[in-house]
Amino acid sequence: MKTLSKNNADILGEMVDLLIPANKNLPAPSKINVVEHIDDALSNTPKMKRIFVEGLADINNKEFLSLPKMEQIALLTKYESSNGTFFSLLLRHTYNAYYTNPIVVAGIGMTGRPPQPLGYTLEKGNLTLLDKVIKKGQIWRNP
Amino acid sequence: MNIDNKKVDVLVIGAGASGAAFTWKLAKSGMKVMCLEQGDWINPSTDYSTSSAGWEIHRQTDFNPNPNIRSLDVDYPINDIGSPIAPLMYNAVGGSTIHWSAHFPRLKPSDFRVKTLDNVADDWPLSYFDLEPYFDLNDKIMGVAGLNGDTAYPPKSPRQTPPVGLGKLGDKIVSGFDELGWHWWPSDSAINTVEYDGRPGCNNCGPCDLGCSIKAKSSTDVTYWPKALELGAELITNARVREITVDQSGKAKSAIYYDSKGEVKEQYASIIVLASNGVGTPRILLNSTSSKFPEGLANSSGLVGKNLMFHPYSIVTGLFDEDLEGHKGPTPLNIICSEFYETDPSRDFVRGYTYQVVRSLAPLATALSGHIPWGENHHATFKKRFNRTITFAVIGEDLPEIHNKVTIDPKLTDSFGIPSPKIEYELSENSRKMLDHGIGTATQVMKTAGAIEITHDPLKREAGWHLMGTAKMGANKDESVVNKYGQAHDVDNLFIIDGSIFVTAGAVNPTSTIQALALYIAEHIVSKSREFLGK
Repeated sequence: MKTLSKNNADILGEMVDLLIPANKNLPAPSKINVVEHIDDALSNTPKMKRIFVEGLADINNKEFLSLPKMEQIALLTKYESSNGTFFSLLLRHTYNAYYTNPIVVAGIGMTGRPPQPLGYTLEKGNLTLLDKVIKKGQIWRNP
Repeated sequence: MNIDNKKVDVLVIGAGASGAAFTWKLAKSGMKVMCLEQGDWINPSTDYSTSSAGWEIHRQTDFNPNPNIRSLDVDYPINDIGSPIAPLMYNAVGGSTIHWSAHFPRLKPSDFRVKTLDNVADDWPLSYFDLEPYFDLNDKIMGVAGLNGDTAYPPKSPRQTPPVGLGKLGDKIVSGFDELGWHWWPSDSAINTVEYDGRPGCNNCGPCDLGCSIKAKSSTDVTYWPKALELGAELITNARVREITVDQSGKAKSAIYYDSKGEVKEQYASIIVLASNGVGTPRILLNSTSSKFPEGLANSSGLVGKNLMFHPYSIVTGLFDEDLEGHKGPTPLNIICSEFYETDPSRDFVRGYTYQVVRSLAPLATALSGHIPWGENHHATFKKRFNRTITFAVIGEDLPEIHNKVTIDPKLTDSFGIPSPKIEYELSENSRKMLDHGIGTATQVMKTAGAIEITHDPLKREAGWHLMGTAKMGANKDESVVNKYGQAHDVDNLFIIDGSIFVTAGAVNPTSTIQALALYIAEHIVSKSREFLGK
């Protein structure tokens, strides 16, 4: 980790796995380096690093790691409304890391690759429905 | 100060949509033309993110359309606290065409005659048909995908390439328009759908707003600029203009700018042309004060910076219960509905609106859309939404109002100390009623097409793409800043060619009309070059 202590990284790992729980097709965020991705982002943004370190310290004071899962979720729900800046940054960067991971992108039914250079095949579509528009005739206003 | 004594015939400030077209036209005539651009070149094959896994994140950082969020060295900050709509732009060779969605509709004939037809605002000092040859020329150079025969326009010259494909998503939404019997058409897009003019056809990758790495999208860095440079035009990048100076007779004399190292330079020209967009142009004019022009250059009317028009946008999103393959194809689908474009006396507003269809959001954008909860239901909700949404951007005609304006912020500056612009804007009652009507009709289309859930944003904040009206055209020097040829009433060798000179906004994207105007003005200058240059 570039920025986070081991304890903070452990807390963050637990948190991101509650934000996006694993299912049979999609991995837990902590298993695909989401914590490392956030740590990397923090190392480039001092203001955000401060918000995270303060937020994680507060969470740590609540002994987050030793709480039962339901109580952890309740605490995160409370943070969502009481510490909106930290929580919204946490959520955005968790989603940023998760939904740009090729494993996840493949898991949601896409090809798992970025848009370029291959692009996609697109159907031309049904332009015959324009006949009705054409039959109605001119709608532009001639000044 | 480093004074460059090589005086040029014409100095253009800004290398975006209008500056590129104008420079090409003048270079073609043999005039010595130089362009100063505050941004730099972008290399499409290496500088865009769409070939990397993290491509979507760039929308939040270095490719965010809002310069206040992007905060690159080449950007200037804008005080937009006093506006519910954030002004958006890009600073590079190609200007905002780098990040645009390539919508390329023209304004319509009635847009140029709103006073005569509807007794609002002012008529333009020229007509759609005056601009028609320049629309056609511009389409040819840019390369336009579309389909002739749109009943919402006079007949146009043949489109350069076939329309952007509808895909499964397009077919779905068209069914709604069809059942209601409302107008829809595959709108003009500045995108090659097949190879044209040495550039390839679009491979339907999706995110046009992040730049086109294969050059299928017709940003001016890949259309006009290579041609203009080949004709001998000179383009200076990283040149940040501070002010335009005048001589003792009040004629524009030079532009003073900072180069990339922060060194102050001065460039003389016989004619100076502003092409810096509807915010950047009034910023330069208002920063160019002198004893002759204490209120800013070309501002005897007091109208520089006034009458700022955006196109206010409402967003209507429908959720469908089937996979629409919404990630395939240019995100701006370019179906346009002009059913409600023209004034209808039975409505409680004048003028009208269009809506454009936008495909589904990409994975990260879907997750961040505000519709996907964290926790236990995250994946199930994501699955129900991803690739299954269709969005309408309802674009209303914003009429000019004197209190909507660009001024100079008393404190804010860019990194070189050049005072920054401040935006003050209020949405008018007419625009609000218009957008509400648009939300209603757009909702009808969504329902008819089978949407199972419909949500809307009544006024999108990050939508100030179109910056218009802040140095309006007109015949009367007390009521306008420039004449019908973009020539400043107060300074006869100063021209403005960007969206600033729009008299009214219409209800479609302005780029095609901005560029046609730039070519029209260039033609005028070429025809009068002896008079202007004295040779």
